[in-house]
Amino acid sequence: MAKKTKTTKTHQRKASVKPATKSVVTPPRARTTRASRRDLPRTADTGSVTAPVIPPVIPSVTPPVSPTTPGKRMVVPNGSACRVRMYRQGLGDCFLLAFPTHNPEEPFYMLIDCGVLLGTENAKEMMIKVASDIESSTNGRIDALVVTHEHWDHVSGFMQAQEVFERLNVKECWTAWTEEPGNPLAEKLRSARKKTLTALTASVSRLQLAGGPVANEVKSLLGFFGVDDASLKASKGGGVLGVKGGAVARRSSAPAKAGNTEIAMGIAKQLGKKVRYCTPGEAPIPLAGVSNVRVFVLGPPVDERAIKHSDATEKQKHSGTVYHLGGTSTADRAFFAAAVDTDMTGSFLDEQDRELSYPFDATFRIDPSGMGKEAKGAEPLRGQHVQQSNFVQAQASTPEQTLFAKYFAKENAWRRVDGDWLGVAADLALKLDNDTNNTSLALAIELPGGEVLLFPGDAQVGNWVSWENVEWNLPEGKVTKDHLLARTVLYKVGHHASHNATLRAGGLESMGRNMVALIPVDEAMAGKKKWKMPFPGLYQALQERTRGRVARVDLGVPTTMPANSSKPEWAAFVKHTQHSTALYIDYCVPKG
Amino acid sequence: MGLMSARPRGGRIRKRRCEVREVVRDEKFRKGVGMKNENKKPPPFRKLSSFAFDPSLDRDLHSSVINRVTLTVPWEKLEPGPVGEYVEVIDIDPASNACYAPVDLDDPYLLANNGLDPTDGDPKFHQQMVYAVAMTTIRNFELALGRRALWSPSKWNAKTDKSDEELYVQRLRLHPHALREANAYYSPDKKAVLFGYFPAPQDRSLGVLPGGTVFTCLSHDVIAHEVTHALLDGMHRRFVEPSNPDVLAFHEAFADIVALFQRFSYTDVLKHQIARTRGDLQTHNLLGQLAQEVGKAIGHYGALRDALGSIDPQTGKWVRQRPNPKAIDETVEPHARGAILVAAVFDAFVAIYEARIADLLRLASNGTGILAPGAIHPDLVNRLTQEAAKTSKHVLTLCIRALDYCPAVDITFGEYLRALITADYDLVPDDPLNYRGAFIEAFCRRGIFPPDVRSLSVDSVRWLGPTDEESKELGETIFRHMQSWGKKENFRDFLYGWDLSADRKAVYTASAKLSEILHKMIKSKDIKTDAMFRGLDPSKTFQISSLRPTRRVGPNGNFISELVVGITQSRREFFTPERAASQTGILADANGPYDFYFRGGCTLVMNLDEKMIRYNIFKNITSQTRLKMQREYAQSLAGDSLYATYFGGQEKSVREPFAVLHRHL
Repeated sequence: MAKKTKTTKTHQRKASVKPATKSVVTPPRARTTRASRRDLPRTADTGSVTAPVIPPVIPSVTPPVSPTTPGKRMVVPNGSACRVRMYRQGLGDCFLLAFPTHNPEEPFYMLIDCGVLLGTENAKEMMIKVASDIESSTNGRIDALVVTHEHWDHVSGFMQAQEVFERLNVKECWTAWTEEPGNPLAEKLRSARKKTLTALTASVSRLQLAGGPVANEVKSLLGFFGVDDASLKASKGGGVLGVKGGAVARRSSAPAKAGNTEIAMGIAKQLGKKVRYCTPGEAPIPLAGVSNVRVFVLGPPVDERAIKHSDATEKQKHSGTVYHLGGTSTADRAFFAAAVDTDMTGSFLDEQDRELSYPFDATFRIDPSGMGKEAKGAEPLRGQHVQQSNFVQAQASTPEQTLFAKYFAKENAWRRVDGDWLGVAADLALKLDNDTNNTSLALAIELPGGEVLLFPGDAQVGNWVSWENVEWNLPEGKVTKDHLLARTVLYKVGHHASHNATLRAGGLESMGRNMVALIPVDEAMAGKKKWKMPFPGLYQALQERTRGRVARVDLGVPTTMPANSSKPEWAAFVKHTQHSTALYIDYCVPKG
Repeated sequence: MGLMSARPRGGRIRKRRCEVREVVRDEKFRKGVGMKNENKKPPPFRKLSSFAFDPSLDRDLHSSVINRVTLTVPWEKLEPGPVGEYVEVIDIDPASNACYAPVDLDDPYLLANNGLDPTDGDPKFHQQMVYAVAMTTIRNFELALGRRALWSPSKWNAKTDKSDEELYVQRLRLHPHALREANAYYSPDKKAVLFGYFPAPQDRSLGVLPGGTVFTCLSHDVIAHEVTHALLDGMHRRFVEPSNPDVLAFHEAFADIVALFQRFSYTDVLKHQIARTRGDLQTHNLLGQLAQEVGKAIGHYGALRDALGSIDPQTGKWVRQRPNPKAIDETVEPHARGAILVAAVFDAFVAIYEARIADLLRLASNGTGILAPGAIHPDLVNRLTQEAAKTSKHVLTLCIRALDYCPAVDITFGEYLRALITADYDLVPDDPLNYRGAFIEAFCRRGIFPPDVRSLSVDSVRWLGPTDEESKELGETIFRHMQSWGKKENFRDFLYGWDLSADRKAVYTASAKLSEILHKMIKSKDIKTDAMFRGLDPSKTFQISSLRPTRRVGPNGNFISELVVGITQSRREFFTPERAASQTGILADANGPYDFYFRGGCTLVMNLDEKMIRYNIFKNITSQTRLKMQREYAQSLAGDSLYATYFGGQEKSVREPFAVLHRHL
């Protein structure tokens, strides 16, 4: 079986290089593969007006789907300008867009992200199923693969279903300028990201020893980078811990291991025959073979400060303000990493740097374990909850022994501060998560009628705010983000509808009145992680704005008409979402 | 002194010199009882060197002369640490897996030298400075209030491993090197202040050594600020709960106010700055700025916070901050919001100071009031310094005393203004220099208005007590009770006993015991006048959250001590009425879910001699308006930050309320 598919793939590739780009009229030979010939159960085009009843819970996928599962081509129905498919793999983004070309059988396919949150059950199977559906729906041809940013819930599929994706014929891969090799700012951001990630991964085991909630908080955020228990363990096994005080710190010459997300991102980039690095404000990108559709790149901003901007608080008004660890990040991270790093393999610390990371030179430092009779192998400090240190019983004689015996005494355990310094890890993790989200490629896709599909990735406030500064001087006049927002008819809600990934004033409030929203969110999964997704205030605002036309990955297409909608409007919505199944939600954007 | 008196006997003194190290260890010496003569008294003060600002000013030729001050702290017996009556400095650095040897300030070499000389390279000096500044702050508090300060009790019982009863905490812990980040915070749970250190960024333009270590524990302002948090928490435990946008902002602002005005008590610094600004404290000067080095090192140009103005990022020039009455509506972040209150207090200070020096300026300028250009006469500098010091002392005292007149929960800036005016009215019945008017005006210019008043006159802004009848009725009932229970004397002893020489644990115990008695009295059926229960729900349980004396000298020169009682009630509440309705059954369950605590209560100021309730400052627990506002605020808080998105806003803020707030200070 595997062999056969392999041949199909090479076949496809050869066949489709020529036609899909320019002469859309010629159907590529690959179209007559087995997959599409089996494409028999066509129920889509003759749907009734009632909305499809979709089970709210995604069924678990068993058995693993064979790569050649029959699917049905995704075509754009008459009267629609675009068909948008949101896969229902869980908390994560995967959108397949089809734009009509001259040949109604051969639309232009755009895939935006493919991932699911770490910790989702049967994630691999689910992503293979999704990828297989993409393969069969597109007949194995993706004209543009858009990868918004390097987060596990946006890229995991490329790794989990690598086999399937490698069979696909991907014409072009689009990423943000932040992924471009050789771009100095991009390199700087990426290298900082990698360092922080390594330090944080290493810190988790320490945090776990220190007790308290920070360890889990950090861990749950690291999930965005595909750092799972296995990688945590690996990092531990590499000598992060387990080196006792006094032992010579070992150093490894190996550079920090690439994170899983980095690998997945790499796979995605390799899939494309060409990689396009998108920069905000560049000339609108036409889609080959599709007339009058243009893609406007809104973000990420080419501005370090904007990328590091997360909270929509007062602070944002003071342009000189430092956010969290923004301005000092390099120093702080190095310092923090140094502290985590002291006992472990110094991946980016040499002996001198480590010594300099201490506040005082060695003559002042007293090893707490050396102040009395110390149990073998136990570290009295370093973030453990040592209820009673053995040297307390030792006869205290020097002033420091008297003083620190009090600190380590059992009855004063509640006052100890051993783990507090690690609290900054949660901040760093947040910062890292936010910075990465802000490197999201934000796209506004303009349809022939002027309507706009807004795909902001997981852009946070800084990214949104920067759109103000982007404008296009086109023959028909100046286009700004306000024009695009006002014409928005479909909004992919950013960052699973968390509060800080959709700007209100100048964002949602400027969006078109006739908009529908798609939210790739799984509330139960987010709840498990204690994340507020969707954020109630935003969700309510979306409901009001769209008059109930909000489709969610976990809940599917809404079936009841809200009071503020009207019958014709609702009927149209029902009609346009009629192709939805348990695996995906399809929305056909009507022609304007 | 012991040494001096022993001078005639030369042989002995030589011997003593040899033994001096051993003598220091002698317990008698530690107690300050004297080495030979048992009747020798310890000196009243201990002098310790410290930075007046932080190490960065040492590197500036102009400011280095004033950066070293000798702080005068009350003499007390000290263990190495230093560990004294109020604080214990425990220098442990978990991030470096190290601890640092404690300084012994009773060492004769150090006693002879005002402690160690300021340096950032020796952890022992760090310990000394943290101790000295913390004690100065505590002393300022105590002098203003006329009673000894207590830390908030611990809820943690190490023996039973439970948090069911409240325990006395004698010492606040100070950890000079507990964190490796640009942060310092007070932990209400651990009764500890944690200071951080961090490397300055690799930016040559900031005026700090790139990559060099910056210690927050060497910043006078950071120490004073954090210790003030702890002192405020000791008086008002509920002020760490963000029940409205002002509460945490108040905590921050108050801590900044104390840190700022404390600096004015260092005469040399003040004199230097007065000479430099020619007496005009509205211009750019070091006195109005907080935490220069920390500010520079985390990337701000100049100080972290500046009460008067800020550096324009475009021009790099300092500009005076103009009062903007609308800012208060737009500012929610606690530091920024707190800065508005700090600015208001500073404006009032400047107004009073200028009124006080107007005549001096006229004298020095041939009656014009306009000084000739150039440096001003040293005599004038001295006189202006005196006035500034006096004014700042008045303002600081007033700001601290006002804490006794604040509601027990849910404070707002407007209520603090009312507390200020009331405190000043009680302290100085006539107001020749119009301090009260200066405060009201300054606050209003910043958009802070007192709630529930009909006009802005001093008499309206001042808190009002219950009507005479109510007050008398209640006062007499309570008095009768006290007498019939034979406890009146206990209360009186308590009132007059809690002074600056009281035993801290004894007053804590007495306060707890009397609270219990008072609780019983109020609970008993016949004390149920409206005056007492305004703001409370008489059908529900309540707590006596604080019991303390407020002390002052009355208009006739008589000494007055009044009883301040904080009574609080709380209940679990939900974000929306719908949620609350669906959870009614669960509300009874102590471990059931809830979104936030809704609290109400009152602060009663009672005069036992006149058998009167003088003030009842209340936050009504039955008020639907308050509930609605707190619901909205709690909801916005729950989703207003990245923290909230991922970690849940409430949970985090309860765990270590100042840690997140102070990250980057």
